[in-house]
Amino acid sequence: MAPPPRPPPALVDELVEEILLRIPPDDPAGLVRATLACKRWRRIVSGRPAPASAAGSLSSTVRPPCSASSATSQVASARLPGYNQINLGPTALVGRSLYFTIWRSKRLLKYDLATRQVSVIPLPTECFSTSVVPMTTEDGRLGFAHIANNRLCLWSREAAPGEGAGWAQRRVVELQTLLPRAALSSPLDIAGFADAVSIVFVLANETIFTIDLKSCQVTKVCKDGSYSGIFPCLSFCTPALAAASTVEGPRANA
Amino acid sequence: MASAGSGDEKAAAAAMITLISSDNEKFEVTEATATLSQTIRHMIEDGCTDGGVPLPNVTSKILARVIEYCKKHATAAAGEEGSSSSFSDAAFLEVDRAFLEELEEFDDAFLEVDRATLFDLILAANYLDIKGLLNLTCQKVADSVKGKTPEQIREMYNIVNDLTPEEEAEIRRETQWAFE
Repeated sequence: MAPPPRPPPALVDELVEEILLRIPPDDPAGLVRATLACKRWRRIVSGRPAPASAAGSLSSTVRPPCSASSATSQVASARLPGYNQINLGPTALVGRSLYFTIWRSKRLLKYDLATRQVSVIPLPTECFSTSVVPMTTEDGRLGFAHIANNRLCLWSREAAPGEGAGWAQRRVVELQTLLPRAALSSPLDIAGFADAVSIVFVLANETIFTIDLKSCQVTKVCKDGSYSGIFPCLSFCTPALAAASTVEGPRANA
Repeated sequence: MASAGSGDEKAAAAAMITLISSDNEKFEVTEATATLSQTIRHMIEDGCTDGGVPLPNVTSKILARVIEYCKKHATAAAGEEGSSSSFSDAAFLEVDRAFLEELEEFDDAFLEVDRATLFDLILAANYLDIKGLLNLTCQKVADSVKGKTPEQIREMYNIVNDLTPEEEAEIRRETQWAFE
């Protein structure tokens, strides 16, 4: 006879949150039932704002890009030729570095949070004159997304031994067939990327669509707006849970 | 058991990294495999991997599985890189699809483990900062909760119910729609 299975080890709050965040949003009842497992799970879902995505950790650890430009004065290699306005658009936190896009520049700005050094990374020629959104790839590398000729292109930074690193195009998604015809009447642009869930935000004719890169499902989010960037933030969808969570015990007991 | 021989390790290819599990077993992996872990990537960048990387939070059993995952995903990434921009778009999409399918099959098989091992993998993925593995394993747990009652979830994951019967009854009353 096999011995009884070993009980699973305990997980810290952050990891329980990582799990509960992945309960499909179309199954809110599943999430509500899970929150009845114990007080801790309940608190994690309902008791505090829960931005668990990279966007969430960004807001807590990083000041606006001016902190990066103040560091440029110490580092000669960070001098930016020509236009040097850092975009206040989406950024990416990859490893211990933050990546910004630079307005009208064919480069990304890298700010190492540990060494406080700033450097620039050239982008491949294919993405010139398009909007670029930096992101973290599935395997934790720096990547970026852009749209050219109605194609969404995903790139990742590849470490090439010897002379520095290069970019490799990892995926191309044909948007012509995914988006409704009306959306294609003006050039498409990328507005944001939720890398934790592989969902890209596309701006098409003043309408925002999301595209789930795993299922290729397209959702119209909102229209008639002027957007330059979207900052995705993952949280729980818990209708009617706020009221019920008042029975929760003190945190220390959970 | 600690594996023998550290003298000839220097002779190994320069891009090899030695990982040492909590039970002192040594694993030689390529740098490409090891750097799927951001934790190890930073150690390599900081030049502190000489003499091996001790991973006191990861047992040899779990580390072997983690390395299996990293090898597969590092190989897949490298193979894809070689085939990237030179292909026509149609060919590229074809390669892309085959690659994604293969990786998905691997991931599905990889997740065929007991719950305790799955949680060990989550802890290791978090400690080693392997985003893809953390996503995969957490999603597996989230999927397993689907359609389960709170009682079943507690039993599955060894959770002690600390809600009083009154509290539980009230929550159930207020979120009745979730239990119908």
